[in-house]
Amino acid sequence: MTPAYQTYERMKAFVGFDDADAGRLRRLAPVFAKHGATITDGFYATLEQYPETAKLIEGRVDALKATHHRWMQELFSGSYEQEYFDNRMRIGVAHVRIGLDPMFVEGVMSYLRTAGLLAIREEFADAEEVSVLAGSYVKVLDLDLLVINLAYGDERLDRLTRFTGMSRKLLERCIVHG
Amino acid sequence: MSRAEQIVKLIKTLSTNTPDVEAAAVIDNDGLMIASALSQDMDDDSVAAMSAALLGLGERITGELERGEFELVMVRGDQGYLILTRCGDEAVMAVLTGKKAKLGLIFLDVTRTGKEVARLLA
Repeated sequence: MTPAYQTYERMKAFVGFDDADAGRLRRLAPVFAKHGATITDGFYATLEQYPETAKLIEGRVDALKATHHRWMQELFSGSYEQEYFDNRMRIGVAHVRIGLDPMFVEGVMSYLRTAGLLAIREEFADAEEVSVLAGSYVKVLDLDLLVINLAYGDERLDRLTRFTGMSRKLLERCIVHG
Repeated sequence: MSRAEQIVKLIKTLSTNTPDVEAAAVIDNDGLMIASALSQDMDDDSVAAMSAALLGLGERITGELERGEFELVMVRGDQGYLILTRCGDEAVMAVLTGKKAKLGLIFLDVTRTGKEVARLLA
């Protein structure tokens, strides 16, 4: 078990993400099957508005939309263990490698929170039900954000290790003493 | 005598026998102090991390600038020198000298002590 996965499991426990959340997210799968394409289109339209993100997606929006669709399907798969974590970590590393500034990841997650919550409200009439489903949705997005942030931290330390010749433990020690 | 004690003895001998060597320490590549003969007012943990970091960068830039095999990093302040050199693949030796240090002699003694420390660490 890698330290990153241990952190993910610890944070799942910390935010109280449990089997009930997994079950609720499975229930949300049809909602996002219905609204997913609209959310994805809106998401890429937003990315196209900003030069920093537009240049990263130019010429491959359709392929990225398909990837985003798979990401969303996994989000509601109901399984959030090692395989889920590994896939999320790979997505995080891909974001780092294309040079996406982490602030845009935060922005994207904010967009997905808002759009997803609107979709949930549209599909469920009972306010109590909306509230618990929304809670699980927000938790899983927060966990995804955590994994992406872990990937950013990991990749940046790896780059510093390669550039400076310093070991990871040494870099972490320098951060502690800094 | 433990290995750490033997290394402390070696670096204290270096400080005692070589004119102008004021203090020395041996640090692992991850910046952990292995043996210290630094003065008590120095922060061992910070010095260890900074020494390993500086040596790591020194090795990298030696390679990048094609300066051959890495030998040492030397830093000069108006009160003296800091010399960082390898003692084996896994450790770094940091040596502090006064400002009037005879560097040729010090390099010889530092190299000899470094080899003895490397033998102990092997």
